Amino acid sequence: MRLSLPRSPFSILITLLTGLVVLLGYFLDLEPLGELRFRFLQWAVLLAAVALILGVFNLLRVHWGRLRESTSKALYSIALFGGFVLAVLIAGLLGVQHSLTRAVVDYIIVPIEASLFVVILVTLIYALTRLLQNRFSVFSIVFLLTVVFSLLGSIPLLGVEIPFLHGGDSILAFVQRVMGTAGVRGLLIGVALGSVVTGIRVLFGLDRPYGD
Amino acid sequence: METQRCPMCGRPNPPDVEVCQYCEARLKPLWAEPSEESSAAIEAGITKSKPALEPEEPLLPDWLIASREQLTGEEPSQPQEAEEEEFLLPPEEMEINNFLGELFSDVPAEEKEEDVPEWLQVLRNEKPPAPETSPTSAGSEQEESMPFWLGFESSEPEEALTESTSAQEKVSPFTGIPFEGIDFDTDFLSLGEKAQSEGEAQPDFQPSVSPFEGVEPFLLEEEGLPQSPSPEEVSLRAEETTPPPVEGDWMNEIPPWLETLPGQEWEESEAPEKEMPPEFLQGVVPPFVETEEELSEIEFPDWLTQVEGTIEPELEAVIDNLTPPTIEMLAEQEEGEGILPEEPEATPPHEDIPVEVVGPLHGLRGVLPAEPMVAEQKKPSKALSELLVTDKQRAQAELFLRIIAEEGKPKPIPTSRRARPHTLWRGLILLALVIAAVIGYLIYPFSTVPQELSVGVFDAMQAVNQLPAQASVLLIVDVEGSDFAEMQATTAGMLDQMMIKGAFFVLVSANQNGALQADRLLREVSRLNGHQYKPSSGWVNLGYLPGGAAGMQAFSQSITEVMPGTVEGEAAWKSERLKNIQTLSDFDLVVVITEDSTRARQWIEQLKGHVPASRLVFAVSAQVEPILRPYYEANPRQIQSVLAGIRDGAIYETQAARRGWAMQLWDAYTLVVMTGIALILIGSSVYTLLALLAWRKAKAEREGR
Repeated sequence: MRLSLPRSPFSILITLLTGLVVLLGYFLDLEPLGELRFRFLQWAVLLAAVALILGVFNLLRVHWGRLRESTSKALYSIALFGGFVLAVLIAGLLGVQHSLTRAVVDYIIVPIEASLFVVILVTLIYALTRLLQNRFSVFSIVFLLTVVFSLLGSIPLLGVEIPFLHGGDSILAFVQRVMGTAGVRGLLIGVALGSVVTGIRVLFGLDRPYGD
Repeated sequence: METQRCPMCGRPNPPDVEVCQYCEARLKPLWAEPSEESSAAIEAGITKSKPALEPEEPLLPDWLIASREQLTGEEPSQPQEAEEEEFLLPPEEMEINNFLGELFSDVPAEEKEEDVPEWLQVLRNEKPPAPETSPTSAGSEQEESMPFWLGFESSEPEEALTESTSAQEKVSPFTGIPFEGIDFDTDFLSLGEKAQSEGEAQPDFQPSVSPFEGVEPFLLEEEGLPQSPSPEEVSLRAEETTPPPVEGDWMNEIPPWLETLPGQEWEESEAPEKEMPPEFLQGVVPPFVETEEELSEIEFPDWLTQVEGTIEPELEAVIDNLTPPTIEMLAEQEEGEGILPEEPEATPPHEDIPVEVVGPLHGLRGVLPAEPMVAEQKKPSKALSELLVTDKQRAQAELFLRIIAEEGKPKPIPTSRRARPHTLWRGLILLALVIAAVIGYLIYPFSTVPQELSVGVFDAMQAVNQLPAQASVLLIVDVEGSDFAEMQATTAGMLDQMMIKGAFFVLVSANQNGALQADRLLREVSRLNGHQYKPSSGWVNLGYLPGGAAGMQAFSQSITEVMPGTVEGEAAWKSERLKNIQTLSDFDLVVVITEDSTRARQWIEQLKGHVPASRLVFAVSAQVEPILRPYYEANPRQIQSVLAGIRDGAIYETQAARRGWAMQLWDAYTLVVMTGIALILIGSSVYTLLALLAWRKAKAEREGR
């Protein structure tokens, strides 16, 4: 295992101390420890909010650079600046509950995002239709049949229920409840173990996502 | 840093030292660097340089080259080579070579007239040619070319000097015609029979009577012929040629036996027109011949014919099998080694010759440095460096070369098997889905709603039914705009039931757009179900909760401190409806609405311990249900209920007997899903058939049909 010394020992020291305090405060029911833990979490929330604001300014700076360079993507930057100014003016000055703000959400944000979702739907169906042409294998056939039977089991076929697809005792229900749940449990256990290992590595300074 | 490498041990040494630090060998010679001049002085008398050799000339003895040239009819070798041979070989070996060369030579006697030895000239009774130079000068030249121990003989009388000068022209005794006139068949047979009759033991190949019987033996001794005298000759020599003891200056006196030589008279007489054997050899030796035809007519003795017959095939076989290095190879090797100058320079003065100061030769002057000779890098012989390659190895080498050549050639890029996108097919899919959605939305009602009540829907309805009037409900809305329709259909029936009970909602979101989506969700549900819910009176929006999991954890610990105000900037927890709310456990119900599985998992993990599981309900997208099912089916449960997708929303509305947003979308949803299934089946069948046809076509092309 290769260990590299950080440029500043204070960063790893701060990480170690705060992490241990939060972790101990989660297990130990001590009032001072709990209070200290809560303060650290509050600071984290504030820092995350500030980071979000900094991210917004960084996004504007990048697009400002594109505008100055007059590249072919300058039009998108102009749209971003226009949308940002409009959103700040409307939501910031008029408020979230204003009708104009609601109109922006109802007629701009939601339809655009919904249309993108429809594009994903069309693309998935198109990819499924050409799956066997591009990769004709057993796993491709199994995947295709699984998708088809899952969709068939999710809806009634004009009021007709297929015995092995619909109902609580159907094969599809068995696949979803038993096999699907078993796979998800494995995934969750893996996520939990990974989280523990990552936390330990961050606490001991082996991983420094905050940088050196 | 420059270093000099010891020529003896090979180790590096500093450039300024004269002897090796390891073996004490001299690094710098006492003389200067072995330049061409100095090397010539050093190697004078050791090695004689050769002139540029002719190419393709094999390294063969002169007598063999001469014999070959005579057989092939070519001109004899250059006289310079003969001189080189004389220089390199001692006189005895040179005589033997000349003897053997002449023995197997067919050159007429006229062509080798100049090489007739003195004794043969005496026998021929011819006068040796007069020297071009004076005897004194000749003697001086002879003195220069002879070593010191031969210089004593050079002080003989002028007659002897004359003889020696004329004797420089040498010839093999048998190439002359000493056997002319002798019938070897008859004479030797008769002599042999006579000898056998006398009981004398003779070798098989040697005649019983020497053909040179009666010839003065000193001639053989003087010329150094490789002949051992017979016992008769020894006795004859002892009787006739033993000079009497002479006192005084015996070197300047001609011995009596020398004065009685018949050659003395020959020397004074003129050269005979035709060489004839002397009188004492008349009838014993064959007459001398002058032409090749006469020589061919001579019949040699049997023993000589047998010897020649046995030696010649062996020599030819050896010569044929021999692959000597050509002169061109030797010339190249000499070029690599450096050609030494022909004429050595004068030796430096005695004072200039340095004295050796180290080593076992300490104190000696003029020690030849061995380093230049030892350290001289010589190229290996060309004949040794040539590889003996078999046919198999040559074939493998050619195969390897072909492989290398093919590797260097550009190869065509294989065409991608990925099919080109079919825009028309994509458009058809989109058009079919849109038409299905429109038809499903307009044709009302189109299909039946599933009547089966799932466990999740039942638990959710039970949790809502247990809410008190004017309950406080925390709605955590992490919804993007793309999934808003699905989440609205999923939660519309449940929110309608809460609104019916007059619940007060507190909205919070860990998503940037979640606060706006939550506000829109309540407005739409209130509008569709005919409620009069408005902000502030019906709900408060706390806005965006930053920090991800850390923010959730902090919010779970103290909602009032982490989210103290609303998005409008008002104090959230000082209103009449929320003044009793201090922690999450003070809410009557906590509903998490999200379409993100990660967010759903994080909320479960961070809310655990702060919210009773019986008051935690999740309304999620259909894709998140598998993630939450383990938490829901755990024992004890970590969440109260899971409402997943439009199906559960429609079931909830059906069970609640309230036709809401899910029921309105159900027909369109069903028709779109059925259209999607049909498109997948049709498209997959068509493209699979096309792929099979293409595969069969490619297979047919490969088979050449």
